[in-house]
Amino acid sequence: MSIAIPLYIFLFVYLIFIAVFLAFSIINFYHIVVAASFTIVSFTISFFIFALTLLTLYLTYTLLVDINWQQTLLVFDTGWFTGPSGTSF
Amino acid sequence: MHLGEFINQKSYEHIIYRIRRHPITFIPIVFMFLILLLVPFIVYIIIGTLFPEIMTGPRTYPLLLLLGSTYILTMFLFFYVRFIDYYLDLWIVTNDRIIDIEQNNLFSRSITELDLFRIQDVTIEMHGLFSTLFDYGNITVKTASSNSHIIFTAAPHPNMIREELIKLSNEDRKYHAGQEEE
Repeated sequence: MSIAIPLYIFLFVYLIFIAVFLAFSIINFYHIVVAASFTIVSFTISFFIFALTLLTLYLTYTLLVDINWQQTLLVFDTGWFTGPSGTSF
Repeated sequence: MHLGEFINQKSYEHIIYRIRRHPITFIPIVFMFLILLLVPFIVYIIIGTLFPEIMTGPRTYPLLLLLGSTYILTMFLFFYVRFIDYYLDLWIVTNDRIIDIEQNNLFSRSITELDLFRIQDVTIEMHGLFSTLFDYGNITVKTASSNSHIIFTAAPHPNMIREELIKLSNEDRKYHAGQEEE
């Protein structure tokens, strides 16, 4: 028996992570604004973080654009626990 | 939001100091961030040298890329959260009171107020080489009430601030004494 999952499952997990990341980043920025601390320093750091985030997302996208996400990844196979002749280890 | 709105500034009140921790105290976090950012590149070199087939595998390549991207974005978020923690810790000194705003974590903030005329004692503590070199330290402001005090953590120019606080406290005390006589 073997269990294989398609690669796009990992892409979905990544997209969920991106959503959480964006939510936390917006909460952070909201804190700066409501705490009356929106200065040139906080603006520079926020701009730096958001620019680096966009760059990372863009690079990830360009490197993954040609991937076939329908491929499957074997996560479990009973053959792993049996020897070449079929006997159990 | 304007700082005056945030602290409910009174009509006769004006802000004299906005004190944050000395920027030098944030440098270790910047270094840690840079070192942690290097980790995926070091791992890439090690795996690429020892197991080059993993880096080119049709299934392992996208998985490693997603993992690397997740790691880097997590580090950005970590840095941003630490910056918020550093930058939103703020001590405001007005001609009437001291306001201590502490950002404990992302969803926890505490605000403490202390009237200048109630100040009984201002103590500074400077420990270590960096503290002496870069002129920063802790300033503890106490009132007669034993459970009411504010600590300015790693504030720049602590001695100058201590002197200013004592001066402002004396002025505020005179103002309040004058009001009581009227």
